[in-house]
Amino acid sequence: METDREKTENIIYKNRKAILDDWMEKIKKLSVSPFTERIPEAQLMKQSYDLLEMLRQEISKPGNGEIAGKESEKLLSLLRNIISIRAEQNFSSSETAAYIFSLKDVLFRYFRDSFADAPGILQQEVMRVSSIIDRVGIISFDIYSEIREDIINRQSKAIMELSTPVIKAWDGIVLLPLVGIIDTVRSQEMIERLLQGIVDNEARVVVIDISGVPVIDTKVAQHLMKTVTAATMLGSEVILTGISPEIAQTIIKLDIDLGVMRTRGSLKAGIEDAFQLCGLKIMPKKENA
Amino acid sequence: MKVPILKLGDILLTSIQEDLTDQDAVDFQNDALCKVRTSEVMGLVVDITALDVVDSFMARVINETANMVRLLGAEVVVCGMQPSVALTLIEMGRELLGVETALNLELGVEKLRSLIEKRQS
Amino acid sequence: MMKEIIGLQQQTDIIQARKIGREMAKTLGFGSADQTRLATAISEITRNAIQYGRGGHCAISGYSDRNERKISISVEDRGPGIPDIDKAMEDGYTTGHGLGAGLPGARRLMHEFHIESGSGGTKVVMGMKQKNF
Repeated sequence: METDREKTENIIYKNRKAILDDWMEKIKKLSVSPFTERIPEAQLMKQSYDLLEMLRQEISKPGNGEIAGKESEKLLSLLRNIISIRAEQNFSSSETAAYIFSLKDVLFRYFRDSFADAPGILQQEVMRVSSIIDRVGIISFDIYSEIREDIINRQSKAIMELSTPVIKAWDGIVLLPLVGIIDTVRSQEMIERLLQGIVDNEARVVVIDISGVPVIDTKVAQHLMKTVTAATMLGSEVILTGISPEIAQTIIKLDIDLGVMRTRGSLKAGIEDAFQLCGLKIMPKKENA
Repeated sequence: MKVPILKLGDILLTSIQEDLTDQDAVDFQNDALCKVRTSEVMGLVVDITALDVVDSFMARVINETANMVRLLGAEVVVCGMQPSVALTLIEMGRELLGVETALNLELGVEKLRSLIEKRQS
Repeated sequence: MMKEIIGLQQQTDIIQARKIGREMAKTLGFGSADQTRLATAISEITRNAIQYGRGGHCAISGYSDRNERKISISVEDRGPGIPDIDKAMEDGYTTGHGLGAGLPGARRLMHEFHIESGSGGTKVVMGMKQKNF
Protein backbone atom coordinates (compact mmCIF):
# COMPACT_ATOMS: atom_id res chain seq x y z
CA MET A 1 0.00 0.00 0.00
CA GLU A 2 1.41 3.39 -1.05
CA THR A 3 1.46 6.06 1.63
CA ASP A 4 0.27 9.61 0.90
CA ARG A 5 3.85 10.73 1.11
CA GLU A 6 4.93 8.24 -1.52
CA LYS A 7 2.00 9.18 -3.72
CA THR A 8 3.01 12.82 -3.62
CA GLU A 9 6.59 11.97 -4.37
CA ASN A 10 5.47 9.86 -7.29
CA ILE A 11 3.40 12.66 -8.74
CA ILE A 12 6.44 14.89 -8.73
CA TYR A 13 8.64 12.14 -10.12
CA LYS A 14 6.30 11.21 -12.96
CA ASN A 15 5.65 14.80 -13.97
CA ARG A 16 9.13 16.17 -13.30
CA LYS A 17 9.72 17.20 -16.90
CA ALA A 18 6.41 19.04 -17.17
CA ILE A 19 6.77 20.59 -13.72
CA LEU A 20 10.19 21.87 -14.64
CA ASP A 21 8.88 23.41 -17.87
CA ASP A 22 5.96 25.09 -16.08
CA TRP A 23 8.27 26.35 -13.38
CA MET A 24 10.63 27.82 -16.00
CA GLU A 25 7.67 29.57 -17.66
CA LYS A 26 6.65 31.03 -14.33
CA ILE A 27 10.16 32.17 -13.48
CA LYS A 28 10.49 33.92 -16.79
CA LYS A 29 7.41 35.99 -16.03
CA LEU A 30 8.59 36.80 -12.52
CA SER A 31 10.79 39.85 -12.47
CA VAL A 32 10.92 43.12 -14.30
CA SER A 33 14.25 42.28 -15.84
CA PRO A 34 13.80 38.65 -16.81
CA PHE A 35 15.81 35.93 -15.15
CA THR A 36 16.98 34.50 -18.42
CA GLU A 37 18.74 37.69 -19.37
CA ARG A 38 20.97 37.36 -16.34
CA ILE A 39 21.43 33.61 -16.19
CA PRO A 40 22.09 31.45 -19.21
CA GLU A 41 18.96 29.33 -19.72
CA ALA A 42 20.89 26.05 -19.62
CA GLN A 43 22.37 27.00 -16.23
CA LEU A 44 18.96 27.94 -14.86
CA MET A 45 17.50 24.65 -16.09
CA LYS A 46 20.28 22.63 -14.51
CA GLN A 47 19.96 24.46 -11.17
CA SER A 48 16.19 24.09 -11.13
CA TYR A 49 16.30 20.43 -12.12
CA ASP A 50 18.76 19.63 -9.32
CA LEU A 51 16.74 21.63 -6.82
CA LEU A 52 13.49 19.91 -7.78
CA GLU A 53 15.18 16.54 -7.33
CA MET A 54 16.45 17.45 -3.89
CA LEU A 55 13.08 18.84 -2.89
CA ARG A 56 11.38 15.65 -4.03
CA GLN A 57 13.66 13.66 -1.73
CA GLU A 58 12.95 16.10 1.09
CA ILE A 59 9.20 15.70 0.50
CA SER A 60 9.50 11.89 0.55
CA LYS A 61 11.08 12.01 4.01
CA PRO A 62 8.92 11.19 7.03
CA GLY A 63 8.84 13.78 9.77
CA ASN A 64 7.55 17.27 10.35
CA GLY A 65 9.29 18.93 7.42
CA GLU A 66 12.31 20.07 9.40
CA ILE A 67 15.19 20.72 6.98
CA ALA A 68 17.97 19.19 9.02
CA GLY A 69 20.07 16.10 9.40
CA LYS A 70 22.39 14.27 7.09
CA GLU A 71 19.86 13.75 4.28
CA SER A 72 19.23 17.49 4.00
CA GLU A 73 22.89 18.43 3.79
CA LYS A 74 22.97 17.94 0.03
CA LEU A 75 19.94 20.18 -0.37
CA LEU A 76 21.53 22.89 1.78
CA SER A 77 24.81 22.81 -0.11
CA LEU A 78 22.96 22.97 -3.41
CA LEU A 79 20.95 25.96 -2.15
CA ARG A 80 24.13 27.71 -1.01
CA ASN A 81 25.62 27.07 -4.41
CA ILE A 82 22.67 28.43 -6.37
CA ILE A 83 22.17 31.44 -4.13
CA SER A 84 25.80 32.49 -4.09
CA ILE A 85 25.68 32.59 -7.88
CA ARG A 86 22.48 34.65 -7.71
CA ALA A 87 23.95 37.08 -5.21
CA GLU A 88 27.01 37.62 -7.39
CA GLN A 89 24.66 38.19 -10.35
CA ASN A 90 22.96 40.97 -8.40
CA PHE A 91 19.59 39.32 -7.89
CA SER A 92 17.66 40.91 -5.06
CA SER A 93 16.66 38.92 -2.00
CA SER A 94 13.00 38.98 -3.01
CA GLU A 95 13.79 37.75 -6.51
CA THR A 96 15.78 34.93 -4.99
CA ALA A 97 12.92 34.01 -2.66
CA ALA A 98 10.30 34.36 -5.39
CA TYR A 99 12.22 31.82 -7.44
CA ILE A 100 11.72 29.21 -4.71
CA PHE A 101 8.13 30.13 -3.83
CA SER A 102 7.00 30.11 -7.47
CA LEU A 103 7.44 26.36 -7.43
CA LYS A 104 4.47 26.05 -5.05
CA ASP A 105 1.75 27.05 -7.53
CA VAL A 106 3.19 24.75 -10.15
CA LEU A 107 3.38 21.75 -7.86
CA PHE A 108 -0.09 22.28 -6.40
CA ARG A 109 -1.66 22.31 -9.85
CA TYR A 110 -0.35 18.79 -10.38
CA PHE A 111 -1.45 17.72 -6.90
CA ARG A 112 -4.98 18.98 -7.58
CA ASP A 113 -5.20 16.93 -10.77
CA SER A 114 -3.86 13.77 -9.14
CA PHE A 115 -5.73 13.97 -5.84
CA ALA A 116 -8.98 15.19 -7.44
CA ASP A 117 -10.93 12.33 -5.84
CA ALA A 118 -9.40 12.73 -2.37
CA PRO A 119 -9.78 16.33 -1.15
CA GLY A 120 -8.69 15.37 2.38
CA ILE A 121 -5.34 14.01 1.24
CA LEU A 122 -4.93 16.90 -1.16
CA GLN A 123 -5.32 19.42 1.62
CA GLN A 124 -2.98 17.51 3.91
CA GLU A 125 -0.27 17.14 1.27
CA VAL A 126 -0.54 20.73 0.09
CA MET A 127 -0.07 21.89 3.68
CA ARG A 128 2.89 19.62 4.18
CA VAL A 129 4.72 20.47 0.95
CA SER A 130 3.87 24.12 1.40
CA SER A 131 5.53 24.19 4.79
CA ILE A 132 8.63 22.46 3.42
CA ILE A 133 8.95 24.96 0.60
CA ASP A 134 8.38 27.81 3.05
CA ARG A 135 11.26 26.56 5.13
CA VAL A 136 13.50 26.24 2.11
CA GLY A 137 12.52 29.80 1.19
CA ILE A 138 13.44 31.11 4.61
CA ILE A 139 16.73 29.24 4.59
CA SER A 140 17.47 30.72 1.15
CA PHE A 141 16.81 34.15 2.52
CA ASP A 142 19.28 33.59 5.37
CA ILE A 143 21.91 32.23 3.02
CA TYR A 144 21.33 35.18 0.74
CA SER A 145 21.87 37.76 3.53
CA GLU A 146 24.96 35.93 4.68
CA ILE A 147 26.46 35.90 1.21
CA ARG A 148 25.58 39.53 0.54
CA GLU A 149 27.24 40.48 3.81
CA ASP A 150 30.37 38.65 2.73
CA ILE A 151 30.35 40.51 -0.57
CA ILE A 152 29.88 43.85 1.18
CA ASN A 153 32.70 43.09 3.59
CA ARG A 154 35.01 42.23 0.77
CA GLN A 155 34.05 45.36 -1.10
CA SER A 156 34.50 47.68 1.86
CA LYS A 157 37.93 46.19 2.39
CA ALA A 158 38.80 46.90 -1.21
CA ILE A 159 37.44 50.44 -0.96
CA MET A 160 39.46 50.98 2.21
CA GLU A 161 42.63 50.03 0.40
CA LEU A 162 41.81 52.23 -2.55
CA SER A 163 40.82 55.20 -0.42
CA THR A 164 44.13 55.67 1.38
CA PRO A 165 46.85 55.63 -1.22
CA VAL A 166 50.38 56.35 -0.09
CA ILE A 167 52.09 57.99 -3.04
CA LYS A 168 55.77 58.55 -3.54
CA ALA A 169 55.99 62.17 -4.65
CA TRP A 170 59.76 62.42 -4.87
CA ASP A 171 62.79 60.64 -3.46
CA GLY A 172 62.24 60.78 0.27
CA ILE A 173 58.81 62.41 0.06
CA VAL A 174 55.49 60.57 0.31
CA LEU A 175 52.03 62.00 -0.11
CA LEU A 176 48.88 60.86 1.67
CA PRO A 177 45.80 62.50 0.17
CA LEU A 178 42.77 61.89 2.37
CA VAL A 179 39.33 61.89 0.82
CA GLY A 180 36.03 61.36 2.62
CA ILE A 181 35.02 60.64 6.17
CA ILE A 182 37.73 59.40 8.50
CA ASP A 183 36.39 56.96 11.06
CA THR A 184 38.23 54.83 13.58
CA VAL A 185 38.53 51.75 11.39
CA ARG A 186 39.73 53.75 8.45
CA SER A 187 42.21 55.78 10.46
CA GLN A 188 43.72 52.56 11.79
CA GLU A 189 44.20 51.31 8.27
CA MET A 190 45.51 54.70 7.20
CA ILE A 191 48.17 54.82 9.91
CA GLU A 192 49.37 51.30 9.22
CA ARG A 193 49.62 51.93 5.49
CA LEU A 194 51.33 55.26 5.94
CA LEU A 195 53.96 53.90 8.33
CA GLN A 196 54.72 51.03 5.98
CA GLY A 197 54.87 53.49 3.08
CA ILE A 198 57.35 55.65 4.99
CA VAL A 199 59.64 52.69 5.60
CA ASP A 200 59.30 51.30 2.07
CA ASN A 201 60.06 54.66 0.46
CA GLU A 202 62.59 55.83 3.06
CA ALA A 203 60.53 58.98 3.33
CA ARG A 204 62.00 61.82 5.37
CA VAL A 205 58.95 63.94 4.73
CA VAL A 206 55.27 63.05 4.66
CA VAL A 207 52.68 65.41 3.24
CA ILE A 208 49.15 64.66 4.45
CA ASP A 209 46.56 66.53 2.44
CA ILE A 210 43.09 66.87 3.96
CA SER A 211 41.45 68.96 1.20
CA GLY A 212 39.04 66.09 0.60
CA VAL A 213 38.00 65.61 4.23
CA PRO A 214 34.58 67.21 4.68
CA VAL A 215 34.49 67.52 8.46
CA ILE A 216 37.00 67.55 11.24
CA ASP A 217 35.83 66.85 14.75
CA THR A 218 37.71 66.03 17.92
CA LYS A 219 37.87 62.36 17.02
CA VAL A 220 39.27 62.96 13.53
CA ALA A 221 41.77 65.42 14.96
CA GLN A 222 42.90 62.76 17.43
CA HIS A 223 43.37 60.28 14.60
CA LEU A 224 45.40 62.85 12.71
CA MET A 225 47.53 63.58 15.76
CA LYS A 226 48.16 59.89 16.23
CA THR A 227 49.21 59.56 12.60
CA VAL A 228 51.58 62.49 12.89
CA THR A 229 53.13 61.23 16.13
CA ALA A 230 53.64 57.77 14.67
CA ALA A 231 55.32 59.13 11.55
CA THR A 232 57.51 61.39 13.67
CA MET A 233 58.56 58.45 15.81
CA LEU A 234 59.88 56.68 12.77
CA GLY A 235 61.93 59.77 12.01
CA SER A 236 59.84 61.53 9.37
CA GLU A 237 58.66 65.13 9.28
CA VAL A 238 54.95 65.59 8.71
CA ILE A 239 53.37 68.49 6.86
CA LEU A 240 49.59 68.83 7.02
CA THR A 241 48.06 70.62 4.05
CA GLY A 242 44.70 71.48 2.58
CA ILE A 243 43.15 73.05 5.65
CA SER A 244 40.13 75.02 4.49
CA PRO A 245 38.95 78.16 6.30
CA GLU A 246 35.96 76.21 7.68
CA ILE A 247 38.21 73.50 9.05
CA ALA A 248 40.58 76.08 10.53
CA GLN A 249 37.56 77.60 12.31
CA THR A 250 36.41 74.25 13.64
CA ILE A 251 39.87 73.37 14.86
CA ILE A 252 40.17 76.56 16.85
CA LYS A 253 36.56 76.48 18.13
CA LEU A 254 36.85 72.88 19.26
CA ASP A 255 40.06 73.82 21.00
CA ILE A 256 41.96 71.05 19.24
CA ASP A 257 45.67 71.41 19.72
CA LEU A 258 47.39 70.94 16.40
CA GLY A 259 50.21 73.14 17.64
CA VAL A 260 52.96 70.61 17.19
CA MET A 261 52.01 70.06 13.58
CA ARG A 262 53.63 71.78 10.69
CA THR A 263 50.70 73.02 8.61
CA ARG A 264 50.37 74.68 5.22
CA GLY A 265 47.25 75.98 3.51
CA SER A 266 47.65 74.43 0.09
CA LEU A 267 49.12 71.21 -1.14
CA LYS A 268 51.40 73.32 -3.32
CA ALA A 269 52.88 75.12 -0.34
CA GLY A 270 53.25 71.80 1.44
CA ILE A 271 55.17 70.23 -1.42
CA GLU A 272 57.41 73.27 -1.60
CA ASP A 273 58.09 72.91 2.09
CA ALA A 274 58.82 69.21 1.68
CA PHE A 275 61.38 69.92 -1.01
CA GLN A 276 63.03 72.46 1.21
CA LEU A 277 63.27 69.96 4.08
CA CYS A 278 65.00 67.57 1.68
CA GLY A 279 67.39 70.28 0.58
CA LEU A 280 65.75 70.68 -2.82
CA LYS A 281 64.26 73.63 -4.60
CA ILE A 282 61.93 74.16 -7.55
CA MET A 283 63.33 76.73 -9.97
CA PRO A 284 62.24 78.15 -13.31
CA LYS A 285 64.10 76.64 -16.21
CA LYS A 286 66.68 79.11 -17.54
CA GLU A 287 65.98 80.25 -21.10
CA ASN A 288 68.96 80.65 -23.47
CA ALA A 289 71.38 79.43 -20.88
CA MET B 1 73.79 39.10 25.75
CA LYS B 2 76.14 42.02 25.30
CA VAL B 3 75.29 44.68 22.76
CA PRO B 4 78.42 45.73 20.85
CA ILE B 5 79.11 49.45 20.74
CA LEU B 6 81.44 50.52 17.94
CA LYS B 7 83.41 53.73 17.61
CA LEU B 8 83.45 55.39 14.21
CA GLY B 9 85.41 58.66 14.24
CA ASP B 10 83.70 60.98 16.68
CA ILE B 11 80.50 58.98 17.05
CA LEU B 12 79.43 55.62 18.47
CA LEU B 13 77.33 53.10 16.55
CA THR B 14 75.32 50.40 18.20
CA SER B 15 72.77 48.00 16.87
CA ILE B 16 70.50 45.97 19.13
CA GLN B 17 70.26 42.71 17.25
CA GLU B 18 67.96 40.62 19.39
CA ASP B 19 65.36 40.78 22.11
CA LEU B 20 66.96 42.01 25.33
CA THR B 21 65.99 40.87 28.78
CA ASP B 22 65.46 43.65 31.29
CA GLN B 23 68.91 43.01 32.74
CA ASP B 24 70.50 43.13 29.25
CA ALA B 25 68.79 46.46 28.67
CA VAL B 26 70.13 47.91 31.93
CA ASP B 27 73.63 46.60 31.10
CA PHE B 28 73.38 48.19 27.68
CA GLN B 29 72.55 51.54 29.26
CA ASN B 30 75.60 51.33 31.55
CA ASP B 31 77.90 50.27 28.70
CA ALA B 32 76.70 53.04 26.44
CA LEU B 33 77.18 55.71 29.10
CA CYS B 34 80.69 54.46 30.00
CA LYS B 35 81.69 54.29 26.37
CA VAL B 36 80.45 57.83 25.66
CA ARG B 37 82.38 59.09 28.69
CA THR B 38 85.67 57.28 28.00
CA SER B 39 85.83 57.68 24.24
CA GLU B 40 84.80 61.34 24.36
CA VAL B 41 82.57 61.08 21.31
CA MET B 42 80.04 63.69 20.22
CA GLY B 43 77.15 61.37 19.60
CA LEU B 44 75.56 57.92 19.64
CA VAL B 45 73.35 56.19 17.09
CA VAL B 46 71.17 53.34 18.38
CA ASP B 47 69.77 51.10 15.67
CA ILE B 48 66.66 49.18 16.76
CA THR B 49 65.66 47.69 13.41
CA ALA B 50 65.79 44.17 14.83
CA LEU B 51 63.56 44.93 17.83
CA ASP B 52 60.05 43.71 17.16
CA VAL B 53 58.79 44.49 20.65
CA VAL B 54 59.47 47.72 22.51
CA ASP B 55 57.41 47.62 25.68
CA SER B 56 57.15 50.30 28.34
CA PHE B 57 60.28 49.07 30.11
CA MET B 58 62.42 49.11 26.98
CA ALA B 59 60.96 52.49 25.96
CA ARG B 60 61.93 53.87 29.34
CA VAL B 61 65.49 52.53 29.04
CA ILE B 62 65.91 54.08 25.60
CA ASN B 63 64.39 57.35 26.76
CA GLU B 64 66.57 57.55 29.85
CA THR B 65 69.72 56.55 28.01
CA ALA B 66 69.20 59.38 25.55
CA ASN B 67 68.71 61.93 28.31
CA MET B 68 71.73 60.66 30.23
CA VAL B 69 73.97 60.74 27.17
CA ARG B 70 72.86 64.31 26.54
CA LEU B 71 73.92 65.20 30.09
CA LEU B 72 77.33 63.86 29.20
CA GLY B 73 77.46 66.34 26.33
CA ALA B 74 76.68 64.09 23.40
CA GLU B 75 73.68 63.65 21.08
CA VAL B 76 71.59 60.54 20.51
CA VAL B 77 69.58 59.38 17.50
CA VAL B 78 67.47 56.22 17.56
CA CYS B 79 66.91 54.72 14.15
CA GLY B 80 65.12 51.91 12.37
CA MET B 81 62.01 51.65 14.52
CA GLN B 82 59.52 49.27 12.94
CA PRO B 83 56.14 50.72 11.93
CA SER B 84 54.15 48.36 14.13
CA VAL B 85 56.40 49.16 17.10
CA ALA B 86 55.77 52.90 16.66
CA LEU B 87 52.05 52.26 16.38
CA THR B 88 51.98 50.10 19.50
CA LEU B 89 53.92 52.63 21.57
CA ILE B 90 51.52 55.39 20.61
CA GLU B 91 48.49 53.28 21.39
CA MET B 92 49.89 52.39 24.79
CA GLY B 93 50.08 56.06 25.51
CA ARG B 94 53.82 56.12 25.87
CA GLU B 95 55.89 57.81 23.26
CA LEU B 96 59.63 57.94 23.03
CA LEU B 97 59.40 61.65 23.62
CA GLY B 98 62.53 63.72 23.51
CA VAL B 99 64.37 61.14 21.47
CA GLU B 100 65.51 62.09 18.00
CA THR B 101 64.61 59.41 15.47
CA ALA B 102 65.55 58.48 11.93
CA LEU B 103 64.33 55.90 9.46
CA ASN B 104 67.56 53.97 9.04
CA LEU B 105 71.20 53.94 10.03
CA GLU B 106 72.28 56.11 7.12
CA LEU B 107 69.74 58.84 7.85
CA GLY B 108 70.46 58.39 11.56
CA VAL B 109 74.14 59.20 11.15
CA GLU B 110 73.21 62.15 8.95
CA LYS B 111 70.81 63.47 11.57
CA LEU B 112 73.32 62.96 14.35
CA ARG B 113 75.93 64.96 12.42
CA SER B 114 73.54 67.86 12.01
CA LEU B 115 72.61 67.75 15.70
CA ILE B 116 76.30 67.79 16.65
CA GLU B 117 76.87 70.75 14.35
CA LYS B 118 73.98 72.59 15.98
CA ARG B 119 75.38 71.91 19.44
CA GLN B 120 78.81 73.15 18.45
CA SER B 121 77.64 76.40 16.86
CA MET C 1 42.26 25.31 18.91
CA MET C 2 45.83 25.93 19.96
CA LYS C 3 47.17 26.22 23.46
CA GLU C 4 50.58 26.87 25.01
CA ILE C 5 51.56 27.31 28.62
CA ILE C 6 54.72 29.10 29.64
CA GLY C 7 56.07 29.08 33.19
CA LEU C 8 57.11 32.49 34.46
CA GLN C 9 60.17 32.49 36.70
CA GLN C 10 62.91 34.54 35.13
CA GLN C 11 63.28 37.44 32.71
CA THR C 12 63.95 35.20 29.69
CA ASP C 13 60.47 33.73 30.16
CA ILE C 14 59.03 37.15 29.22
CA ILE C 15 60.79 36.95 25.86
CA GLN C 16 59.72 33.34 25.43
CA ALA C 17 56.06 34.14 26.17
CA ARG C 18 55.84 37.03 23.74
CA LYS C 19 57.60 35.02 21.01
CA ILE C 20 55.07 32.21 21.36
CA GLY C 21 52.21 34.72 21.40
CA ARG C 22 53.45 36.41 18.25
CA GLU C 23 53.93 33.09 16.45
CA MET C 24 50.41 31.97 17.31
CA ALA C 25 48.91 35.29 16.21
CA LYS C 26 50.79 34.97 12.94
CA THR C 27 49.57 31.40 12.40
CA LEU C 28 45.98 32.52 13.04
CA GLY C 29 46.33 35.21 10.39
CA PHE C 30 46.64 38.40 12.46
CA GLY C 31 48.54 41.22 10.71
CA SER C 32 51.93 42.48 11.82
CA ALA C 33 50.51 45.45 13.75
CA ASP C 34 48.25 43.11 15.77
CA GLN C 35 51.13 40.67 16.32
CA THR C 36 53.19 43.48 17.81
CA ARG C 37 50.31 44.76 19.94
CA LEU C 38 49.80 41.29 21.33
CA ALA C 39 53.51 40.59 21.96
CA THR C 40 53.85 43.94 23.71
CA ALA C 41 50.81 43.38 25.92
CA ILE C 42 52.14 39.92 26.88
CA SER C 43 55.49 41.49 27.69
CA GLU C 44 53.89 44.02 30.05
CA ILE C 45 51.71 41.56 31.91
CA THR C 46 54.28 38.77 32.25
CA ARG C 47 56.85 41.25 33.53
CA ASN C 48 54.42 42.32 36.24
CA ALA C 49 53.90 38.69 37.20
CA ILE C 50 57.64 38.09 37.53
CA GLN C 51 58.57 41.40 39.09
CA TYR C 52 55.75 41.85 41.58
CA GLY C 53 54.01 38.50 41.55
CA ARG C 54 56.85 36.12 42.40
CA GLY C 55 56.30 34.23 39.18
CA GLY C 56 53.42 32.16 37.88
CA HIS C 57 52.38 31.04 34.46
CA CYS C 58 51.05 32.35 31.18
CA ALA C 59 48.55 30.46 29.04
CA ILE C 60 48.10 31.45 25.41
CA SER C 61 45.26 29.94 23.39
CA GLY C 62 43.75 30.71 20.04
CA TYR C 63 41.42 29.55 17.30
CA SER C 64 40.17 30.57 13.90
CA ASP C 65 36.83 29.52 12.43
CA ARG C 66 34.53 30.72 9.65
CA ASN C 67 33.48 33.81 11.55
CA GLU C 68 36.41 35.03 13.58
CA ARG C 69 39.90 34.45 14.83
CA LYS C 70 40.69 34.99 18.45
CA ILE C 71 43.69 34.76 20.73
CA SER C 72 43.41 34.77 24.51
CA ILE C 73 46.08 35.27 27.12
CA SER C 74 45.74 34.38 30.75
CA VAL C 75 48.51 35.29 33.20
CA GLU C 76 48.37 34.17 36.82
CA ASP C 77 50.88 34.91 39.54
CA ARG C 78 51.29 33.98 43.18
CA GLY C 79 52.11 37.46 44.41
CA PRO C 80 50.63 39.52 47.22
CA GLY C 81 48.01 40.99 44.88
CA ILE C 82 47.37 44.57 43.86
CA PRO C 83 45.85 46.60 46.71
CA ASP C 84 44.08 49.15 44.53
CA ILE C 85 43.31 47.89 41.03
CA ASP C 86 41.61 51.08 39.88
CA LYS C 87 44.71 53.00 40.75
CA ALA C 88 46.97 50.44 39.09
CA MET C 89 44.98 50.87 35.88
CA GLU C 90 45.73 54.61 35.83
CA ASP C 91 48.47 55.99 33.63
CA GLY C 92 51.70 56.74 35.39
CA TYR C 93 50.96 54.85 38.60
CA THR C 94 53.86 52.66 39.63
CA THR C 95 55.29 51.08 42.74
CA GLY C 96 58.24 49.66 40.89
CA HIS C 97 60.57 50.84 38.21
CA GLY C 98 58.40 50.96 35.10
CA LEU C 99 56.72 53.88 33.45
CA GLY C 100 53.49 52.91 35.11
CA ALA C 101 52.23 52.18 31.64
CA GLY C 102 52.18 48.41 31.84
CA LEU C 103 48.60 47.62 32.84
CA PRO C 104 46.79 50.55 31.22
CA GLY C 105 48.97 50.20 28.13
CA ALA C 106 48.22 46.51 27.75
CA ARG C 107 44.51 47.22 28.17
CA ARG C 108 44.59 49.73 25.33
CA LEU C 109 46.34 47.29 23.03
CA MET C 110 43.85 44.46 23.55
CA HIS C 111 40.14 44.18 22.76
CA GLU C 112 39.27 42.44 26.01
CA PHE C 113 40.92 42.93 29.34
CA HIS C 114 39.97 41.63 32.80
CA ILE C 115 41.96 41.74 35.98
CA GLU C 116 41.28 40.25 39.39
CA SER C 117 43.54 40.40 42.34
CA GLY C 118 43.47 39.06 45.84
CA SER C 119 45.84 37.99 48.57
CA GLY C 120 46.51 34.74 46.67
CA GLY C 121 47.72 36.43 43.54
CA THR C 122 46.70 38.37 40.48
CA LYS C 123 45.04 37.08 37.34
CA VAL C 124 44.88 38.96 34.06
CA VAL C 125 42.81 37.64 31.15
CA MET C 126 42.97 39.47 27.86
CA GLY C 127 41.93 38.77 24.30
CA MET C 128 42.21 40.01 20.78
CA LYS C 129 39.79 39.06 18.02
CA GLN C 130 39.09 39.81 14.44
CA LYS C 131 36.40 38.91 11.94
CA ASN C 132 37.36 36.42 9.29
CA PHE C 133 36.24 37.37 5.80
